[in-house]
Amino acid sequence: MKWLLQWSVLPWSVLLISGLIYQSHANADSNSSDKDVAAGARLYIQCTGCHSPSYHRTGPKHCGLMGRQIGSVSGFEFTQAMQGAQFIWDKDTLDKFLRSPLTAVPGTSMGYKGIASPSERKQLIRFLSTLNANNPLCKR
Amino acid sequence: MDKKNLLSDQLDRRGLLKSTGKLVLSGATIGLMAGVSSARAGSASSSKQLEQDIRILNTAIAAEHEAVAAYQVGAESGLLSSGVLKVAVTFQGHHKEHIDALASTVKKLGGEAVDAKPQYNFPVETLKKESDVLTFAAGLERGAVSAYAGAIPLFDNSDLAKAAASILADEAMHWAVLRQALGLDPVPGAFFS
Repeated sequence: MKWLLQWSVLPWSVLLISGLIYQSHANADSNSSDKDVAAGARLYIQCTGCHSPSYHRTGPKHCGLMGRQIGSVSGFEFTQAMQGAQFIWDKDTLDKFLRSPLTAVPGTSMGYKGIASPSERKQLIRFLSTLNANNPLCKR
Repeated sequence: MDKKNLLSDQLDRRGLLKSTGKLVLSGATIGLMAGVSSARAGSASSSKQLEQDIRILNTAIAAEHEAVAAYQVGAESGLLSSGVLKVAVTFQGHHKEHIDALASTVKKLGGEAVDAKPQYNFPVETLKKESDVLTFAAGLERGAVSAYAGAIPLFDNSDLAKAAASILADEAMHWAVLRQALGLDPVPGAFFS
Protein backbone atom coordinates (compact mmCIF):
# COMPACT_ATOMS: atom_id res chain seq x y z
CA MET A 1 0.00 0.00 0.00
CA LYS A 2 3.07 2.24 -0.11
CA TRP A 3 2.03 3.49 -3.48
CA LEU A 4 -1.18 4.80 -2.00
CA LEU A 5 0.88 7.18 0.09
CA GLN A 6 2.78 8.32 -2.95
CA TRP A 7 -0.44 8.94 -4.78
CA SER A 8 -1.62 11.19 -2.03
CA VAL A 9 0.86 13.84 -3.07
CA LEU A 10 0.31 13.93 -6.79
CA PRO A 11 -0.87 17.01 -8.64
CA TRP A 12 -4.54 17.74 -8.21
CA SER A 13 -5.74 16.00 -11.27
CA VAL A 14 -4.08 12.81 -10.22
CA LEU A 15 -5.37 13.17 -6.71
CA LEU A 16 -8.63 11.78 -7.96
CA ILE A 17 -6.84 8.66 -8.84
CA SER A 18 -8.21 6.27 -6.28
CA GLY A 19 -11.64 6.89 -7.68
CA LEU A 20 -10.12 6.89 -11.09
CA ILE A 21 -8.96 3.31 -10.92
CA TYR A 22 -12.50 2.17 -10.50
CA GLN A 23 -13.72 4.55 -13.15
CA SER A 24 -10.87 3.80 -15.46
CA HIS A 25 -11.63 0.14 -15.46
CA ALA A 26 -15.15 0.89 -16.52
CA ASN A 27 -13.76 2.86 -19.44
CA ALA A 28 -10.89 0.63 -20.35
CA ASP A 29 -10.69 -1.77 -23.23
CA SER A 30 -12.28 -5.06 -22.45
CA ASN A 31 -8.83 -6.64 -22.47
CA SER A 32 -7.57 -4.32 -19.76
CA SER A 33 -7.37 -5.67 -16.28
CA ASP A 34 -7.74 -3.74 -13.07
CA LYS A 35 -4.22 -4.71 -12.25
CA ASP A 36 -2.71 -3.33 -15.42
CA VAL A 37 -4.61 -0.07 -15.26
CA ALA A 38 -3.72 0.39 -11.59
CA ALA A 39 -0.09 -0.39 -12.29
CA GLY A 40 -0.17 1.99 -15.22
CA ALA A 41 -1.60 4.72 -13.01
CA ARG A 42 1.27 4.23 -10.61
CA LEU A 43 3.75 4.43 -13.46
CA TYR A 44 2.05 7.60 -14.64
CA ILE A 45 3.48 9.33 -11.56
CA GLN A 46 6.75 9.40 -13.51
CA CYS A 47 5.07 11.47 -16.20
CA THR A 48 3.75 14.12 -13.83
CA GLY A 49 6.90 16.17 -13.89
CA CYS A 50 5.76 17.47 -17.24
CA HIS A 51 2.29 16.12 -18.01
CA SER A 52 -1.21 16.17 -16.65
CA PRO A 53 -4.22 14.28 -17.95
CA SER A 54 -6.42 17.34 -18.32
CA TYR A 55 -4.28 20.38 -18.98
CA HIS A 56 -1.13 21.33 -20.83
CA ARG A 57 2.01 21.75 -18.80
CA THR A 58 5.61 21.50 -19.98
CA GLY A 59 4.22 18.64 -22.05
CA PRO A 60 0.79 18.28 -23.60
CA LYS A 61 -2.24 16.89 -21.79
CA HIS A 62 -3.03 13.21 -22.19
CA CYS A 63 -6.81 13.11 -22.18
CA GLY A 64 -7.95 11.96 -25.61
CA LEU A 65 -4.48 10.83 -26.59
CA MET A 66 -5.46 7.49 -28.09
CA GLY A 67 -6.47 7.87 -31.70
CA ARG A 68 -5.10 11.38 -31.94
CA GLN A 69 -2.65 12.49 -34.63
CA ILE A 70 0.75 13.03 -33.04
CA GLY A 71 1.59 16.66 -32.30
CA SER A 72 -1.92 17.84 -33.03
CA VAL A 73 -3.71 18.68 -29.81
CA SER A 74 -4.78 22.31 -29.77
CA GLY A 75 -3.31 24.82 -27.37
CA PHE A 76 0.10 23.22 -27.14
CA GLU A 77 3.18 24.34 -29.00
CA PHE A 78 4.86 21.21 -30.34
CA THR A 79 8.36 20.92 -31.72
CA GLN A 80 8.70 20.71 -35.47
CA ALA A 81 9.75 17.11 -34.99
CA MET A 82 6.47 16.19 -33.34
CA GLN A 83 4.43 18.19 -35.82
CA GLY A 84 6.23 16.52 -38.68
CA ALA A 85 5.79 12.97 -37.42
CA GLN A 86 3.09 11.20 -39.33
CA PHE A 87 1.35 8.72 -37.14
CA ILE A 88 -1.60 8.26 -34.88
CA TRP A 89 -1.26 7.48 -31.21
CA ASP A 90 -2.30 3.90 -30.62
CA LYS A 91 -0.91 1.10 -28.50
CA ASP A 92 1.79 0.26 -31.02
CA THR A 93 3.00 3.79 -31.69
CA LEU A 94 2.88 4.59 -27.99
CA ASP A 95 4.86 1.47 -27.22
CA LYS A 96 7.54 2.50 -29.69
CA PHE A 97 7.60 6.08 -28.43
CA LEU A 98 7.67 5.22 -24.73
CA ARG A 99 10.50 2.77 -25.28
CA SER A 100 12.72 5.63 -26.42
CA PRO A 101 11.07 8.94 -27.26
CA LEU A 102 14.21 10.43 -28.78
CA THR A 103 14.70 7.43 -31.04
CA ALA A 104 11.07 7.31 -32.10
CA VAL A 105 10.86 11.02 -32.83
CA PRO A 106 14.33 12.57 -33.00
CA GLY A 107 14.02 16.22 -32.11
CA THR A 108 11.21 15.82 -29.61
CA SER A 109 11.62 17.95 -26.50
CA MET A 110 10.59 15.00 -24.36
CA GLY A 111 13.93 14.56 -22.65
CA TYR A 112 13.18 11.20 -21.15
CA LYS A 113 15.21 8.06 -21.69
CA GLY A 114 12.20 5.82 -21.96
CA ILE A 115 10.72 2.75 -20.34
CA ALA A 116 12.74 -0.37 -21.04
CA SER A 117 10.29 -2.88 -19.65
CA PRO A 118 7.70 -4.05 -22.19
CA SER A 119 5.25 -4.95 -19.41
CA GLU A 120 5.55 -1.52 -17.83
CA ARG A 121 4.97 0.15 -21.19
CA LYS A 122 1.92 -2.03 -21.66
CA GLN A 123 0.57 -1.07 -18.24
CA LEU A 124 1.16 2.63 -18.83
CA ILE A 125 -0.52 2.44 -22.23
CA ARG A 126 -3.48 0.67 -20.65
CA PHE A 127 -3.79 3.56 -18.22
CA LEU A 128 -3.39 6.19 -20.95
CA SER A 129 -6.12 4.47 -22.93
CA THR A 130 -8.55 5.16 -20.10
CA LEU A 131 -8.03 8.92 -20.39
CA ASN A 132 -11.04 9.52 -22.56
CA ALA A 133 -14.01 11.85 -22.32
CA ASN A 134 -15.77 9.63 -19.80
CA ASN A 135 -12.91 9.64 -17.36
CA PRO A 136 -13.39 11.99 -14.38
CA LEU A 137 -9.79 13.10 -14.79
CA CYS A 138 -10.70 14.51 -18.19
CA LYS A 139 -13.76 16.45 -17.11
CA ARG A 140 -11.99 19.48 -15.77
CA MET B 1 6.37 19.97 18.10
CA ASP B 2 3.49 20.42 15.69
CA LYS B 3 3.76 20.03 11.95
CA LYS B 4 4.18 23.70 11.18
CA ASN B 5 6.80 24.23 13.87
CA LEU B 6 8.59 21.17 12.65
CA LEU B 7 8.57 22.58 9.16
CA SER B 8 9.83 25.93 10.41
CA ASP B 9 12.46 24.13 12.39
CA GLN B 10 13.50 22.28 9.28
CA LEU B 11 13.68 25.54 7.45
CA ASP B 12 15.83 27.03 10.18
CA ARG B 13 18.14 24.09 9.92
CA ARG B 14 18.18 24.57 6.19
CA GLY B 15 18.93 28.21 6.92
CA LEU B 16 21.94 27.17 8.93
CA LEU B 17 23.07 25.24 5.92
CA LYS B 18 22.19 28.03 3.57
CA SER B 19 25.64 29.37 3.00
CA THR B 20 27.02 25.89 2.59
CA GLY B 21 24.17 25.05 0.24
CA LYS B 22 25.00 28.04 -1.88
CA LEU B 23 28.57 26.90 -2.08
CA VAL B 24 27.46 23.47 -3.14
CA LEU B 25 25.16 24.87 -5.80
CA SER B 26 27.85 27.22 -7.01
CA GLY B 27 30.24 24.32 -7.14
CA ALA B 28 27.80 22.35 -9.20
CA THR B 29 27.23 25.28 -11.48
CA ILE B 30 30.92 25.84 -11.93
CA GLY B 31 31.35 22.16 -12.67
CA LEU B 32 28.55 22.44 -15.16
CA MET B 33 30.18 25.31 -16.93
CA ALA B 34 33.56 23.61 -16.95
CA GLY B 35 31.96 20.57 -18.49
CA VAL B 36 30.28 22.69 -21.09
CA SER B 37 33.55 24.23 -22.15
CA SER B 38 35.23 20.88 -22.57
CA ALA B 39 32.18 19.52 -24.32
CA ARG B 40 32.22 22.29 -26.87
CA ALA B 41 35.95 22.09 -27.42
CA GLY B 42 36.10 18.36 -27.78
CA SER B 43 32.98 17.87 -29.60
CA ALA B 44 32.66 17.41 -33.13
CA SER B 45 31.35 14.38 -31.20
CA SER B 46 28.10 15.46 -32.52
CA SER B 47 26.25 18.62 -33.07
CA LYS B 48 23.12 16.49 -32.91
CA GLN B 49 24.00 15.46 -29.38
CA LEU B 50 24.61 19.10 -28.51
CA GLU B 51 21.21 20.04 -29.91
CA GLN B 52 19.66 17.24 -27.92
CA ASP B 53 21.35 18.38 -24.72
CA ILE B 54 20.05 21.90 -25.30
CA ARG B 55 16.52 20.61 -25.88
CA ILE B 56 16.64 18.53 -22.70
CA LEU B 57 17.96 21.48 -20.71
CA ASN B 58 15.24 23.70 -22.11
CA THR B 59 12.58 21.18 -21.15
CA ALA B 60 14.00 21.26 -17.63
CA ILE B 61 13.97 25.07 -17.66
CA ALA B 62 10.32 25.05 -18.77
CA ALA B 63 9.42 22.75 -15.89
CA GLU B 64 11.38 24.91 -13.45
CA HIS B 65 9.52 28.01 -14.67
CA GLU B 66 6.28 26.16 -14.02
CA ALA B 67 7.43 25.34 -10.49
CA VAL B 68 8.28 28.98 -9.81
CA ALA B 69 4.83 29.99 -11.03
CA ALA B 70 3.16 27.28 -8.95
CA TYR B 71 4.92 28.40 -5.77
CA GLN B 72 3.87 31.95 -6.60
CA VAL B 73 0.25 30.82 -6.77
CA GLY B 74 0.70 29.10 -3.43
CA ALA B 75 2.40 32.10 -1.86
CA GLU B 76 -0.34 34.45 -3.03
CA SER B 77 -3.17 32.10 -2.11
CA GLY B 78 -3.50 33.46 1.40
CA LEU B 79 -3.78 29.86 2.56
CA LEU B 80 -0.27 29.43 3.90
CA SER B 81 0.75 30.09 7.48
CA SER B 82 3.85 32.20 7.91
CA GLY B 83 6.20 29.27 8.56
CA VAL B 84 4.97 27.36 5.55
CA LEU B 85 5.02 30.49 3.40
CA LYS B 86 8.65 31.00 4.31
CA VAL B 87 9.45 27.47 3.19
CA ALA B 88 7.49 27.88 -0.04
CA VAL B 89 9.33 31.07 -0.90
CA THR B 90 12.66 29.41 -0.11
CA PHE B 91 11.84 26.47 -2.39
CA GLN B 92 10.70 28.86 -5.09
CA GLY B 93 14.08 30.56 -4.78
CA HIS B 94 15.80 27.24 -5.36
CA HIS B 95 13.84 26.74 -8.56
CA LYS B 96 14.87 30.21 -9.69
CA GLU B 97 18.49 29.28 -9.04
CA HIS B 98 18.01 26.11 -11.09
CA ILE B 99 16.71 28.23 -13.96
CA ASP B 100 19.68 30.57 -13.75
CA ALA B 101 22.17 27.69 -13.81
CA LEU B 102 20.40 25.83 -16.60
CA ALA B 103 19.87 28.95 -18.70
CA SER B 104 23.54 29.92 -18.39
CA THR B 105 24.46 26.46 -19.56
CA VAL B 106 22.14 26.60 -22.55
CA LYS B 107 23.68 29.91 -23.48
CA LYS B 108 27.20 28.49 -23.15
CA LEU B 109 26.19 25.64 -25.40
CA GLY B 110 25.13 28.15 -28.00
CA GLY B 111 21.42 27.82 -27.49
CA GLU B 112 18.66 30.07 -26.30
CA ALA B 113 16.93 29.38 -23.02
CA VAL B 114 13.15 29.22 -23.03
CA ASP B 115 11.25 31.90 -21.17
CA ALA B 116 8.43 31.41 -18.72
CA LYS B 117 4.98 31.14 -20.25
CA PRO B 118 2.82 34.25 -19.97
CA GLN B 119 0.39 32.19 -17.92
CA TYR B 120 -0.01 28.73 -16.48
CA ASN B 121 -3.15 26.69 -16.37
CA PHE B 122 -3.13 25.53 -12.77
CA PRO B 123 -6.40 24.17 -11.40
CA VAL B 124 -6.44 26.78 -8.66
CA GLU B 125 -10.11 26.18 -7.97
CA THR B 126 -9.09 23.08 -6.03
CA LEU B 127 -6.98 25.04 -3.56
CA LYS B 128 -9.13 25.44 -0.51
CA LYS B 129 -6.74 25.01 2.37
CA GLU B 130 -3.07 24.91 3.22
CA SER B 131 -2.77 21.16 2.81
CA ASP B 132 -4.13 21.48 -0.75
CA VAL B 133 -1.29 23.85 -1.60
CA LEU B 134 1.27 21.59 0.05
CA THR B 135 -0.14 18.57 -1.76
CA PHE B 136 0.03 20.38 -5.06
CA ALA B 137 3.60 21.49 -4.47
CA ALA B 138 4.61 18.01 -3.33
CA GLY B 139 3.17 16.53 -6.50
CA LEU B 140 5.16 18.91 -8.64
CA GLU B 141 8.35 18.15 -6.76
CA ARG B 142 7.78 14.40 -7.03
CA GLY B 143 7.21 14.79 -10.74
CA ALA B 144 10.38 16.83 -11.06
CA VAL B 145 12.39 14.04 -9.47
CA SER B 146 11.10 11.67 -12.13
CA ALA B 147 11.73 14.14 -14.90
CA TYR B 148 15.37 14.62 -13.95
CA ALA B 149 15.81 10.89 -13.35
CA GLY B 150 14.52 10.24 -16.86
CA ALA B 151 16.68 12.94 -18.43
CA ILE B 152 20.03 12.32 -16.77
CA PRO B 153 20.86 9.13 -18.71
CA LEU B 154 20.43 11.07 -21.96
CA PHE B 155 23.25 13.52 -21.39
CA ASP B 156 26.36 12.79 -23.34
CA ASN B 157 28.31 15.17 -21.15
CA SER B 158 28.80 13.72 -17.67
CA ASP B 159 29.12 17.21 -16.18
CA LEU B 160 25.62 17.99 -17.36
CA ALA B 161 24.43 14.75 -15.82
CA LYS B 162 26.17 15.62 -12.56
CA ALA B 163 24.59 19.06 -12.41
CA ALA B 164 21.15 17.65 -13.21
CA ALA B 165 21.61 15.09 -10.44
CA SER B 166 22.40 17.92 -8.05
CA ILE B 167 19.11 19.58 -8.97
CA LEU B 168 17.27 16.26 -8.68
CA ALA B 169 18.56 15.90 -5.13
CA ASP B 170 17.23 19.35 -4.27
CA GLU B 171 13.79 18.53 -5.70
CA ALA B 172 13.75 15.29 -3.70
CA MET B 173 14.53 17.20 -0.51
CA HIS B 174 11.66 19.59 -1.25
CA TRP B 175 9.35 16.64 -1.76
CA ALA B 176 10.40 15.04 1.52
CA VAL B 177 9.93 18.26 3.50
CA LEU B 178 6.51 18.84 1.97
CA ARG B 179 5.45 15.28 2.73
CA GLN B 180 6.62 15.74 6.30
CA ALA B 181 4.52 18.88 6.55
CA LEU B 182 1.54 16.91 5.29
CA GLY B 183 2.02 14.35 8.03
CA LEU B 184 3.19 11.70 5.58
CA ASP B 185 6.27 9.54 5.67
CA PRO B 186 8.85 11.93 4.21
CA VAL B 187 10.83 9.16 2.55
CA PRO B 188 8.35 6.46 1.62
CA GLY B 189 10.73 4.19 -0.21
CA ALA B 190 14.30 3.30 -1.04
CA PHE B 191 14.08 3.85 -4.79
CA PHE B 192 12.36 6.34 -7.04
CA SER B 193 12.31 6.78 -10.73
